[in-house]
Amino acid sequence: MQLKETLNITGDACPMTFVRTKLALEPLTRGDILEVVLNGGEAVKNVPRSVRGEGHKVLFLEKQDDGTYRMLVEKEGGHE
Amino acid sequence: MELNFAELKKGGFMKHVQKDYFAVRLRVAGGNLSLEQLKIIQGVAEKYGQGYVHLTTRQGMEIPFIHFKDIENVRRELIDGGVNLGVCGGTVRGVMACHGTAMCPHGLIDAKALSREIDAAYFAAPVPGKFKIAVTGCPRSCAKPQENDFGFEGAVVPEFHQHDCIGCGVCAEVCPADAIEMRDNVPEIDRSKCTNCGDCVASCPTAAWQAGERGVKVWAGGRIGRNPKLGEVVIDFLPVHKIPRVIEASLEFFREHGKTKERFGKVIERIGIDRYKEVLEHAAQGDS
Ligand code: SF4
Ligand code: SF4
Ligand code: SF4
Repeated sequence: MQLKETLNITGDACPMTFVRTKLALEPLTRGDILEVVLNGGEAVKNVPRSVRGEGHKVLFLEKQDDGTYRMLVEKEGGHE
Repeated sequence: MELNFAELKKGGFMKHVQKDYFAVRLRVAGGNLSLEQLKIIQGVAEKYGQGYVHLTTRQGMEIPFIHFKDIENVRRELIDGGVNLGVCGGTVRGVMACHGTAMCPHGLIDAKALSREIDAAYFAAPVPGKFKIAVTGCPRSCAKPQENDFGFEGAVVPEFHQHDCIGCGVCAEVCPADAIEMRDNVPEIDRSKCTNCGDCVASCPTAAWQAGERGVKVWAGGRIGRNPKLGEVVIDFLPVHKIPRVIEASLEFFREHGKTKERFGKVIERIGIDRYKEVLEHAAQGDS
């Protein structure tokens, strides 16, 4: 399990936020971790849930001091 | 040939401003027409109409410019082809629906399936005035239950599974009713504030919030027309299987108290919303 990449989608709007996260996850191998920085509001409401819907595992999600969120996603999550 | 206007109207034929011409209204449940039905409709419109159809504001379809001599043929060709005729006057009208869970990611109930069941059971049932029903899958209200005499809006009871929670606080942030508060990194729900909108279930990244019982919020008394008024919520949460009882009780209330051509909302206003709610409560109670 290792942090492979960091993606910042705070400049994107829905549905590009999810599409870019999905594309970033694609080349990774199972068990790799992707770090995503995303906005509150619509983005945090939709992206983490959609990522989970694709079978990945959201390990961590926390609001940061600047109002954005930091999320750690494990590619095609391990145990249920 | 004698024209029986009352009979014509019941059968979904509406008089044109042009002499001897009628528009035929079709029965559509939940906004769906199959391609087979469309082929039949196309054939009838080509043969008897003027080559076009009219889409109504309530997901209905009409074929204009049918000459009165052709009414019997049109009726037979449509029905033989699996297309049923609509209704006018004091009846339960076509039941509207949004996509619901059939394809919409926001859907909380299968609005299409529910609208078909309601259509099968209550379409054309006689009542004092028109009675329009809409079924919408979630509070976004694409099928506009608030504008209909009676309406259902998908709802869900959220259930919390603590061992899946990573304490991110997203649910508390998205809850439109401020029903969730984070305490020591764990969400705490105030059920009295919860509107069963399902947003927490939809946005939780770990499925710690899951959909429990599904049901509907019930709207009544909405109308557009000359004196438009949005309906109001008469039941906050009703399990799906109790929907028929509530419809039947409402139609009965309408028949008992309504005057000819009166809209349901007016009847509720005249008789009193509290009395109507009592009737609903009674209908929704009981076993199963
Ligand atoms: S009302 Fe909700 S479920 Fe229905 S189409 Fe609109 S967003 Fe989707
Ligand atoms: S269902 Fe809606 S109102 Fe109820 S707690 Fe969840 S987000 Fe809040
Ligand atoms: S959104 Fe889910 S994981 Fe985050 S705090 Fe709420 S229940 Fe826990």
